[in-house]
Amino acid sequence: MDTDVDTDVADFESIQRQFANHLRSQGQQPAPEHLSEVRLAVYRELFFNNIKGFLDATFPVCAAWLGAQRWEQISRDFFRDHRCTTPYFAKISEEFLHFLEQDFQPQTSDPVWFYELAHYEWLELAVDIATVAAPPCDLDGDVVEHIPVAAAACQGFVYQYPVHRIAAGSPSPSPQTTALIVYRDAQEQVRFVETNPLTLGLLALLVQNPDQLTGRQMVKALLDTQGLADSPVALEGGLHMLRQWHQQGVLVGSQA
Amino acid sequence: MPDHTLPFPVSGAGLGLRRGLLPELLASPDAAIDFMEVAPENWIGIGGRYGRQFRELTERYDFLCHGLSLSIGSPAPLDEALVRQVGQFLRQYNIKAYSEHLSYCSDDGHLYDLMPIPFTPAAADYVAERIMRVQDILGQRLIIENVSSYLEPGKVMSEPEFVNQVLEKADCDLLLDVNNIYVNCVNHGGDALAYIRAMPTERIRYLHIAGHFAEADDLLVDTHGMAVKKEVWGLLDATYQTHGVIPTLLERDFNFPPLHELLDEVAMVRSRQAFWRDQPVITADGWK
Repeated sequence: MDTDVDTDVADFESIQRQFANHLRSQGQQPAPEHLSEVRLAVYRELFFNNIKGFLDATFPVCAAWLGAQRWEQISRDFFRDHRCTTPYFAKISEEFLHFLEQDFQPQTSDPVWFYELAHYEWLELAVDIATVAAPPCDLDGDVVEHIPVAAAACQGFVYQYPVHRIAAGSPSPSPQTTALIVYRDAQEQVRFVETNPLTLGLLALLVQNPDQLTGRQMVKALLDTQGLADSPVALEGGLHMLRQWHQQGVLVGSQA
Repeated sequence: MPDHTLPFPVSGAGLGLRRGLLPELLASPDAAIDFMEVAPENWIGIGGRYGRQFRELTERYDFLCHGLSLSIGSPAPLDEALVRQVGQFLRQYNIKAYSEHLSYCSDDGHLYDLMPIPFTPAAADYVAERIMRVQDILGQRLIIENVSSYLEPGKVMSEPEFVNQVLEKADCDLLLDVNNIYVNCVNHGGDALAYIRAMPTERIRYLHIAGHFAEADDLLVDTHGMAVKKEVWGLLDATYQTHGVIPTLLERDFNFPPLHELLDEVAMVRSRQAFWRDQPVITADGWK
């Protein structure tokens, strides 16, 4: 091989890596030689502001609660320390959650529920754009005697804090086990419904439902696992929950 | 008029689709737009109301894809999974063509914005190889766009030379961004008209125009956040005069005015196209 060409190959690659590293490190790592500092600063700010725009849009409550200064610092840490692998812009917020799980260095002043709140805010976006749709079903069907059908992207989550009540300026919440159902309703809006962990078990059964059980059979199966098979009160409670979910839109209807 | 050996993928005057434009576009069934363009990385894997609204518009308008994350010049391996997902997206929505930036946006991680490839012969070879691989996977030609830049690290040749080398070596097509030529010629010094004339007519598939922000007298930032500047309209005329009338798309990424103002700019493109359609073409060889 021509040695000049080899040098050139090495040169352009190392220049590219150096340039990218300089931007990612926000100026901590050196830029390639002979470049204007003013223009490097333009690149650094454009790149960081672009990422911060995505974070601001997805995590507005986190941003407000942490305050502009701390939020910007965390955003800069994410930009510098996390290697995003997704080519998709709507998934940058998921990369941010990975960053919080793996590389984030919390300060003592950061609220202990920060990760949970970030997860909750991400969840709203994820459900909003989820590609799943509820299967066709009888909208007025009987969700007790037939097979209940859950709304699009319906899932349950248990948090250690009441993340759904945290708002900008609200007091820091005390720990409280919080079970939430999230789903996309018939008007394509994201909804959250507060429930309890046992009921989330019923929802998990319902969303999977490999044996195509009716609503009544599912409630009975769940009560069996809880040692409550013979409790008419518990059975009626479960059936009532199914009907209530249907009214709320957690269930869209039933299949025969 | 010059020969275009390949047909244009679309015709007329287009508008880039952004989420911020969705409500007004959906409410304006008679909007005079000949075609639209999206970044596949903003729409792949998007369901719910956005997915439904996007499908509705793809049934109403011709669409092009203008990618953001391919990172064709990246030192990292080509993301072939992304190429395949884009291919599926193109087929799913009957997208007429796929363009990407002659740039890179990642090393071992994505930075989600465009970095300048050093203009060297080895870089041109490297990028051309990767473009050919993309074309192999997709079974269709890739359209490469000249990008705006604020620095030219490692440059040993001119930008028009670099663009031409890549196009020839990869045997791919060109999306000529007229605003980017103007921005770069101000930022780095250069003759925008000479740049335009140096581009190969037969490879140009469509054009972009957009507004930019003047950070300083010698520094324009390609924001796509304001109306098209008069100098760029002048260069669009020069492009039509040199290469013939070519489908042209207006890009606006934020700071959205009411839709009718964007449609006025689209109409301006259309009227210039109508004017130049009837004019003789001037090339380096003289009048044709």
